[in-house]
Amino acid sequence: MPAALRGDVDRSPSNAHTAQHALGQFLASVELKAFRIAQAALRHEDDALDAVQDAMLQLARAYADRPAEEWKPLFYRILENRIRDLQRRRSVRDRVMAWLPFATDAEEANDPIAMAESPELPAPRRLELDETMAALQRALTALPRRQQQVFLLRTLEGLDVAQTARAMGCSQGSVKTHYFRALRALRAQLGELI
Amino acid sequence: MSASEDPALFERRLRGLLQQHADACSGRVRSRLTQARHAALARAVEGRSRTGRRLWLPAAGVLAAAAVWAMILVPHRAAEAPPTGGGALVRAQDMALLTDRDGLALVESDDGQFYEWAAAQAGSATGSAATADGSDQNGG
Repeated sequence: MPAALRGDVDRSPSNAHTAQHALGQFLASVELKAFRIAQAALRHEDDALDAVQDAMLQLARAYADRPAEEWKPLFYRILENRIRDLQRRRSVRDRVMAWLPFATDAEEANDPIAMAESPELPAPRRLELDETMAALQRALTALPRRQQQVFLLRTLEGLDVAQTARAMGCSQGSVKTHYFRALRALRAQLGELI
Repeated sequence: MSASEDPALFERRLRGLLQQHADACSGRVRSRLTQARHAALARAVEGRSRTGRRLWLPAAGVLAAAAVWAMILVPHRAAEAPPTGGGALVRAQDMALLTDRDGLALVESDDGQFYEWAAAQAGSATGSAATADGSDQNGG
């Protein structure tokens, strides 16, 4: 087992290389889920990418020497803070932009690279998934933000109650309550569809 | 039993759905995430080397302070010390006196005859010198 995964701090070159490798593996394992979680909260692809990128940089800069077991809750805590910052900034930006006659994302929306989907799924299956996902996204969007984040951290990322509480900066009791309410709301809306 | 009736089944299906959705990200998103990951790893290396430098800094500071201290103090100490050659000669004479058994025997002996003789010798030497001076004066 690599020293970084055991939680030891050793700065010899070989161990630094191992820790670097472990960090790379960790980031690769969370990046897609983190992006989807950020996207669900921000409802904007580029903002979500910015949030994930900032969280990665912050984790690597400040917490790379921490035991690997701590990375996941720390990473999602940083991401949660970045999402909140971006939401705050965006609400200010939206208030300002509402007064301006331009500001459209049409160019980005037509970008073929942006529209390219992963080729792994066959078209009919993707269509079905898209419809179900669209319904799920609508239902997730309708959830209060804390319920939404707790639900995604628990269900998509697989964090346990304690890790989710650390990532969200709240008590374990709150996590349980938010998760239960989110699940109940989603079942009420999607029960027949899923 | 449908997913809406079984909470555990509903949860499992949701999890599977969300996982599929996460895996189905566009090429652009994947590319940007990969770039972000590489940038973060580069930052980690940077941070680690900076941490290494930070660990060496106190030791380097202590060494530098010791070097400056030595450079200031050594010339002063050298100025205060007796000349190396003379000091060595004095120390050698002291040692010779201390190891001279004859001299020690004279000093330690309880025989005052030697001292009486020495005093008489000194007195006669002074007297003869005075006589000699007087004869010279008389003769001049």
